[in-house]
Amino acid sequence: MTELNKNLKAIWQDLGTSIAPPTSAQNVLLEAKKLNQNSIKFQRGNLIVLGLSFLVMCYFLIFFFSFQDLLSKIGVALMLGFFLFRIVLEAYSIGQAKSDRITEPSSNNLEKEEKYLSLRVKIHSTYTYLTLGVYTLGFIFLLPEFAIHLSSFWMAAMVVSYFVPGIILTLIIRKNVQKELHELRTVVELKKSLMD
Amino acid sequence: MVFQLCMGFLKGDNDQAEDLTQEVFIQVWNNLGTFRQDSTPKTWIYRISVNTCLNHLKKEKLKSEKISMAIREQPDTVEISSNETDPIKALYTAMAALSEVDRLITGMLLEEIPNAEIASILGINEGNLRVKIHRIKIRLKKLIPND
Repeated sequence: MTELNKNLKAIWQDLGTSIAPPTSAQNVLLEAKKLNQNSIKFQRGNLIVLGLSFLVMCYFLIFFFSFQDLLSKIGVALMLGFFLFRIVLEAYSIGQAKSDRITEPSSNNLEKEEKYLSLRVKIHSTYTYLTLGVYTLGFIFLLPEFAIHLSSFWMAAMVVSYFVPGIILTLIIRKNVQKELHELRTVVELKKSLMD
Repeated sequence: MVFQLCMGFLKGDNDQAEDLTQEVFIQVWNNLGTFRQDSTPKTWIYRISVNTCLNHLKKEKLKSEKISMAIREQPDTVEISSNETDPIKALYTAMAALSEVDRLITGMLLEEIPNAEIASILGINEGNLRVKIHRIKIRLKKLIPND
């Protein structure tokens, strides 16, 4: 090696001979299979939960309540439409994550990672807030028709039970966005450091 | 080779290096099907190792500020303590003063990987790599004055 001093090379080689294999190949294989299965299960699980929630919402909003007013029908369409839109975005994002960029040259890997994280940030911030906003608007559109059938107390209980979890959900989303923004910044800095 | 590269990257942290090595081999296993014959298996494994090391940084949630500080150029005044007698520790301490990317390049140079291969692993051109190596050499000389 001509690039670095021979002393460093000798130290490195000594180190290499003193290292015992950190883990057995069998353990790695088992772990790899387990992680792979867990990851697929998690991603599929997420989509299944979202899909089932959508079906339950469809049942209640379309068949069970069977709204009559035009305003309520617009509300239902907004709620279901944007919920479906969010599910499609999540599925698209999972599809993007599957690409095998880990085997590509680091500059490509970081480039794709940057694009992917930008997409995640966009999904988790702009689109999720948009979905929440439109969903809430849809919910508000339902209230006049609900008010015909429910007492003030139950109306108030319904509104509170919508907005309290909504606020908690917004805080969780905000935390996730910050985490992904931090990851994005790290990737951008790494890319800059690599290409510099 | 992978464990050593991880050790250098993680500044000699044995436990973390073991975890990262395991992660590299998990990635190797999971991506075996995507291996094309356009590079040697060794280069391919190094590529996965380097990317796994870089991804590791992203996952380190609590180190956000540390990472951004470390990526920036280190001050040239940092020197290895003269009473550091263990040469391996001295090497790791010196590598710790380099940026993450420079630590990976140093590790691959010490593994005697040719420049063309390192450039292909990192996805940068050889001219850019030579500039980086030159900077690393200058920094290591300052960090290990007796080397």
